[in-house]
Amino acid sequence: MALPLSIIVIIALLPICWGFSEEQPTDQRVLVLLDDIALKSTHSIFFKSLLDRGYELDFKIADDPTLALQRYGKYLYDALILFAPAVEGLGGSLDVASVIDFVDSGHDLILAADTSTSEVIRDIATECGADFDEDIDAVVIDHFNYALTSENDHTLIVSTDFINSSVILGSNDIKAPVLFRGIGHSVNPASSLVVEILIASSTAYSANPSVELTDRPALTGTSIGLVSVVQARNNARVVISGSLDLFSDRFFHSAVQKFGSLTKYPRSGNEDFAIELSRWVFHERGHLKVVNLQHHKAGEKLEPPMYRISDQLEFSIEIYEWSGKHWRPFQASDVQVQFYMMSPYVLKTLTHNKKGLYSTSFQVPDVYGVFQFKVEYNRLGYTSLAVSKQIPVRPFRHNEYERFIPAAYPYYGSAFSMMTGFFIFGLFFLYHK
Amino acid sequence: MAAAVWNARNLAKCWESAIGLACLVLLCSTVPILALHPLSEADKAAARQLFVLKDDGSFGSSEETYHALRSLQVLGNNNLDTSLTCGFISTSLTSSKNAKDLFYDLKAAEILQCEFAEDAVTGVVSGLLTAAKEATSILDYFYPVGALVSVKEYLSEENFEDAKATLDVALESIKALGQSDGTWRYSHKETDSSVKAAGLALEAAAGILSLTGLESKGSEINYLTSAINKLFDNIESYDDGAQYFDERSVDKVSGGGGPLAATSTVLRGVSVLASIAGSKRLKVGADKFAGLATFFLSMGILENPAEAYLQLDALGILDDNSLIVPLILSLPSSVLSRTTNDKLQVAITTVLGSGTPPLVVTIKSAVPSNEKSNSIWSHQKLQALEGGKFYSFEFLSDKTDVGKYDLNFEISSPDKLSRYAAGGPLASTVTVTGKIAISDVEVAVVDSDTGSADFITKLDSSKLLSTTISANHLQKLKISFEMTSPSHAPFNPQQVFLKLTHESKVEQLYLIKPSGKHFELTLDFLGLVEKLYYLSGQYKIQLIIGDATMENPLNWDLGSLELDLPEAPEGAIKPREVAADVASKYAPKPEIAHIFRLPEKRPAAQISAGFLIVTLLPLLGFLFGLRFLGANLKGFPLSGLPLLSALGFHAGIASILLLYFLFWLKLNLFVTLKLLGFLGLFTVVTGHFILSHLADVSSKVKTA
Repeated sequence: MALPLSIIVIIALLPICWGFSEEQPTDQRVLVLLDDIALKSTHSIFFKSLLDRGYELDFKIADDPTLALQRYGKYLYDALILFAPAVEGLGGSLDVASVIDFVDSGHDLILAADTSTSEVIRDIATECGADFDEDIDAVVIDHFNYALTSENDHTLIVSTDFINSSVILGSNDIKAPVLFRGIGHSVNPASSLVVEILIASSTAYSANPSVELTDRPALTGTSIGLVSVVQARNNARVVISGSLDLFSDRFFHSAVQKFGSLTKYPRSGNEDFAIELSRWVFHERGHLKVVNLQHHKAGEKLEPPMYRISDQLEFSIEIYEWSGKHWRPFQASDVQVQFYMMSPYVLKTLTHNKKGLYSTSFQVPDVYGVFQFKVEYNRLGYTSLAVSKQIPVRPFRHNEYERFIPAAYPYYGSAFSMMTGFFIFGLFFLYHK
Repeated sequence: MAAAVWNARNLAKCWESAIGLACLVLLCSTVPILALHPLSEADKAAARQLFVLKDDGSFGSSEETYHALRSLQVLGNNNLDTSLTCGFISTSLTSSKNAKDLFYDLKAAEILQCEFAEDAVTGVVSGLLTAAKEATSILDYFYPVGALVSVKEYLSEENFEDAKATLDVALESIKALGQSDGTWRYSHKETDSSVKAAGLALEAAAGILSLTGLESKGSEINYLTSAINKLFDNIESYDDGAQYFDERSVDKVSGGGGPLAATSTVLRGVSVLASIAGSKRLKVGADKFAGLATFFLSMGILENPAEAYLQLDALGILDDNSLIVPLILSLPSSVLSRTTNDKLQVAITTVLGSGTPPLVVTIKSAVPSNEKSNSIWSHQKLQALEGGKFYSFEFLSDKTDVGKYDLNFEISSPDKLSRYAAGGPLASTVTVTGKIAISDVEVAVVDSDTGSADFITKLDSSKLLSTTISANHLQKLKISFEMTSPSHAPFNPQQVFLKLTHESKVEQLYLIKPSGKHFELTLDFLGLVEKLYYLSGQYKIQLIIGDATMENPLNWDLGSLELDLPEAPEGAIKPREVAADVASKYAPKPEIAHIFRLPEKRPAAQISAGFLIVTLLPLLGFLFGLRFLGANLKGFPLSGLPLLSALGFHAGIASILLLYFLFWLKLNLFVTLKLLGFLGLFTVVTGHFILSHLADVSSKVKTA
C-alpha cells in the first residue's frame, strides 16, 4: 500500500518540479499559437533557438477547438507565444480574459501583430498597455528610414532606436539595424510598467500607404512604439511587437541597407534582437531573488528585538540573479535600503562584496516608533524586488540619560551645603549654652 | 506572400491532422494575389541543407538516399563524392532482398551513373522478374518494373521473351485495377481508390511500355491517356491559381502524404508516360501545369526531407519535361528610378530559375494604379537580353510620371510547337520614383485683422536654411510652397507635415493640403490657442515631405517661432504628459541621511565649577558666623542615657543625609525609602529621648 501511494505522490509532484518555479524561474513549457502551421517553417530560426535552449514548444493553430491554458486549475504552460495576428477568435477555452488571467498569474507572453491584426489580438495588447493604431489598414511608414529593397512602399523600416538596456537586449551590442514591417502602437506615458524598446523615428507616421491622407495620422513620430515590453508587478513579462515578420527567417537573413546610407549590413540585427528579447521574456536574464535579510547592532551578531534611538546598526542582504541555469551573485552598485516609517528617514546605497552580499551601516534616527527596513529595487528589465522587515525603535530609558551633568554642579553643591549646614545648625541649636 | 505559402503548406500538413477542417475554413477565407518567384538561390541553398551525407556515403536508408540524390540533382551545383555513394549503393544492391530497396538503389545508381559488375546485376534482374510475376498490387508492380527499367540493358536475349510475357500480364493487371474516374486501387482487396496509386500505376505502366515497346499497345495507351484526362478533370484549385490533386481518403498503403504526394506522384507518372508514349498523345492544358507550378512554388521549401523530395522532384519535372514547361514571370526590381533612368527588366524563367529559348514578351497594358486612366503603353515588345532570362524595356519616357503602374504582360513563342507556356500570373506592379522639385517656399506672419504681412521671408529648399520668426495670437502664420514632379506635373505626396515642437516637447502636427501644385497652410493662432494649450515660448518649425515615389524626401528645420499667447484661463486643458525619460524613471533615488537633533547648549565646565564654589560660600559664611557669635556645645550631655541618645539622634540625622547623598549617587527610591524608614524610626526614638532630656533640663533651669 505504501509503495503505490508514494508513486502517486511522486507522479503528482512531477509537473511541479518541472517548469517555472521560484527556484527555477526559467519557463519550460511554451504554447505557440499560430495562424497556420507554415509559420513554423517561415520562423524556424526563432523557434529553433528556443528549442535549442531547452524549451518545449507546443505548436497549435490559434482557433484549434481543443486549446486550453489550464486544466483543473493548474496551468499547463509557463508561457504563450501568440503569433496569430489574423485569428478572429481564439479556439477552445481561450479568450481575451483567459489570456490576461494567464499573464496575471505570472506567466509570460510574446504577442506579435501584423497588418491584418484581429480585434482579439488588439484587445489583448490593449489590456497589456499597448494600443495598436485603430485604423485597421494603417502600417508604419517612414520615407526617411526605410530599407532599400526591390519593393518600394517604404513600410520596411530600418530602426536603430532601441532602448539601452543590457538586461533586455543582452550585453552584446546589436550592431546592425532591426527591420520592421507592421503596425505601430502607442503607450500611455503615465504607465510605469510598459516600456517601448524599439521606437519609430521622428519622421515616421502610421497610415494606409495606398490612401491619400485626409486627416492627421493618429500616431506620428517618436510616439510610435514598434516593440514594447511589459514587466508586470508580479514579474510576468510581456513582449508586444507590431511586426510578426520581425521574427521571420527572411528578416533574420536579409541584408540591410538604409535609404541614403552607404553602409550595407550583410545581415539585419533582427536575429540578435528577437533572440535576446526571448531570453529576457522567458526569464533567462534579469530575474533576481533576494534572501537572508539581516541586521544587527554594530559589533554584535544577533538580531535584536528592537533598537534604541541613535544605535549604530549594520544591515545586509543577499541578491542573486538567475542565469538560466543557476543562481549567480548579482552585481550592481545601485541597490538601496530605506529605513522607513511613513516616509524614508534614511536611504542609503548598499555596497557589495561581489559575492552577492550587499551591506551597509548607519545610525538609527533619534525618532522612535515602528520602522521598516525596505529594499525596493526597480530597474529597467530586472524583476522588481520589494522586501521589508519591521523593527521597533524605542527612546532612552530613564536611567540611560547622562548623569552628573557638569552644568548642574552648582545645584548639587547648594543642596549638599544646605544639608551640611542643617546638620551643624541642629547641633548648635540644641546644645548651645 | 506568407499567406500563399501557408495555403499550400497547410494543405500537406492539415491533411492528416484533426484540425484539417479548421485549416480548410481558413484557406477559403483569404484571397492572396501574389507575384510568383522561381526558386531562388537562397531557397536552393536552404533546401540543400536538408540532406546530410553520412560517413558511409549514404543519406540513410536506400529510399532516403535516392530521395536526397534526386533532390540534389534538381537543385544542381552539388559537390558529391560519387564514388563513396556508389560504393554504398553497390553493397546495398548485393544485400538487398526486396524489390523496393533494389528499386531505390538502382534509381540512385542511375542518377550517379555508377557502374557495377555485370554478374551482380543479372542476378538482380532475375529476382526482379520473379517479383513482377508474383505481384498482386500496384506497389508490387511499381518497384520491380521501375527497377527493371533502370537495368534494361542487362536483359539478355533469351529471357527477354519470358520477361515480355510477364510484363504484358502485369500491364493487364494494372489496367484492371484502374477506376472509371481515373484513380487506381492498390490491389483487388482494397475497396477505396487513390490518386497517388494512379500516379504509381501510370509510372509502372509507362515502365512496362518502355521495356516491351509500343507495338500493339494502342488500346492500353488510350486507356492510360483517358485516365490522365479524367484525373486532370477532377483537379482542385485555390483562389491564387494553384492546382493540385486531392486525396479523398487516407492513403494507408503507401505511407500517405496527402495532396502533396498525390500531386507529385501523378505529375511524375504523367511525365514518364509522355516521354515514352510521346507528348502528342497526351493533351493536358497549359493552365493545369501553370496551376501545378503555382502549387509547388507557393509552399516555400518544406523542412521535412521526405516532403521536400516530393516538392523538388515535381519542380524538377516541371522544369524539364516533354509536355509543357511552365514559365514564371518576375521582376528583379519593381522600382524604376527616373534619376538613374532605369529600364524595366522582366525575368522569364522556368520554375527552377533557368533560362528559356527566345520568346516574345509584350506589355499588354500599363495603367497608373491610382487613377484608372488610359494605358500609357500597349502592345510593346520587350527586348531580349543575353542569357535567355531577362527582357528589358525603356519603360520611362516623358509620359511616365512618378507613381505606381499596373502592368500586364503576354508571352508567346515564335516556335508554335514550343512546350513552353506561361505559368503563374502575368501581371505586376512597378513604382516609378523621381526627384521632386520644391520651389517658392515662403514663410509669412500675417495680421489677422488687416491681412497685411508683418513679416515675410523666402527660403531656398536646396540650402535648407532656417529663419527666426516671432508672432502673437493676433497674427497668422502662413507657409506656402510649390511641388512639381520631374515631368512638371503637380505632385501630391502622402506625407506633407508641418510640425511645431514646443520647448517642453509638446508637438503639434498639421497636414498641408495642395491645390494643384501649390501647397499652403495658414495657422490662425487665435483659433488655435486652446489646441496649443496656451503655451508661449519657442517653437521649432519642421517641414516633413515624403512619399513612396519621392527620391528626395525632405525633413527641413524651417526655424524657430517665438510665440506670444495669452495666459491660460482657469480650467484650460493641460497638455498630455510627455513621457518621462525611461532612464530617469528607473534611476536610483537620491540618498537621504537623517538629521539628528543637536544637544542643547551648556555652559563650560569651568563656569559651572566657579558657580559650585559660589554655592558653597554661604556654608562657609555660616561656619564663620557661628565662630563669630561664639557658638558652643556646652549643653551636650556627658553621661548616661542622654549621651547615648544624643549620639544616636545626630548619627541618625547624619546617616539620613548620607542616605540622601547615596540616593543621588546610586540608590533607587525603594531601597532609600526602606532604609529611611529604619533610620527615621531610630532617629525619632533617640530624638524623643534627647529632646525630652533637653526639655527637662530647661524646665529645671526655669523652675530653678
